[in-house]
Amino acid sequence: MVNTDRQFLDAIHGKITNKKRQWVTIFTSVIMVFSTIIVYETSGRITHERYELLWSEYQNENTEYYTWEVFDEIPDVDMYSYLLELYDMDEIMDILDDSPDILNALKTTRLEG
Amino acid sequence: MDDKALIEKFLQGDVKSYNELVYRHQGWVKGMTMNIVKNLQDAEDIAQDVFVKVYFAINRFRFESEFKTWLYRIVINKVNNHFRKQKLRSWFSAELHEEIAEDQAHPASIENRLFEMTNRLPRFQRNIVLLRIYQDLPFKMIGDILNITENSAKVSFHKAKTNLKKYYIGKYGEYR
Repeated sequence: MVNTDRQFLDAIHGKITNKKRQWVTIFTSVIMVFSTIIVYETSGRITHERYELLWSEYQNENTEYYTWEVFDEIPDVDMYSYLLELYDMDEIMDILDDSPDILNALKTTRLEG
Repeated sequence: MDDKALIEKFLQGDVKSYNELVYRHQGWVKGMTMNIVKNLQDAEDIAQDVFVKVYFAINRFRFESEFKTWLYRIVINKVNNHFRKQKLRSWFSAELHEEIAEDQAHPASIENRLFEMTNRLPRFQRNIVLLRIYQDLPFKMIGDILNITENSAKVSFHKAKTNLKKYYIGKYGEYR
């Protein structure tokens, strides 16, 4: 196959064009790979933050709250009337069996009504 | 217009100057590659690659040497790449064995045998042999192309000849 000068030159320009196209392809591929990595990393971070957010929401939803009434010092009479409001007499007697201090207090209390 | 002026115009974006450079030098580049690779299609392919390289690397040409000297270096590099690829292809191809068998059936001429031996030389010595024997270049120019002194080129050429003779006797017996 004998190339004329013009064909030879055309073949060179064809190769130059191909090489330029290859570089564009390589450059585009590199950019795409980097973009994918960046998007992946960013989405991973966002997802991680989102999970943390959801967990904190979940934590709030499931927190159990307890309220305690604190009495500094209750007089014996108030204590007894308070027990009467909450419990039956049988239950009071059971509690009192375990608490001799309260029983002694009741003994000295004058019941009204 | 001389090569330098054409290169400067091309560097300013004038593609016609590049085309002119190609027209001006393609003859001897094609001739040289043909002399070395002994295959028209490969020779044209290598010659085209040489000018593609010129297109992309011309901005690195510093006008410290003749454009032709710089072009010789590119040709030598491209030819070496060609031989390297050919060697790799031979390793992975059964064709090599067929070629050897064919050679044994039809003995090649002494020139072809010597050319085959040239490919076995170390790259540096081979470059000198290719430029000296196949291009008939003076040692001064060979030195310029390969960035060595004229005397180093002469010494390396002598070593290459000794090696060629050794390879030849090793494979074909007596040198005739």
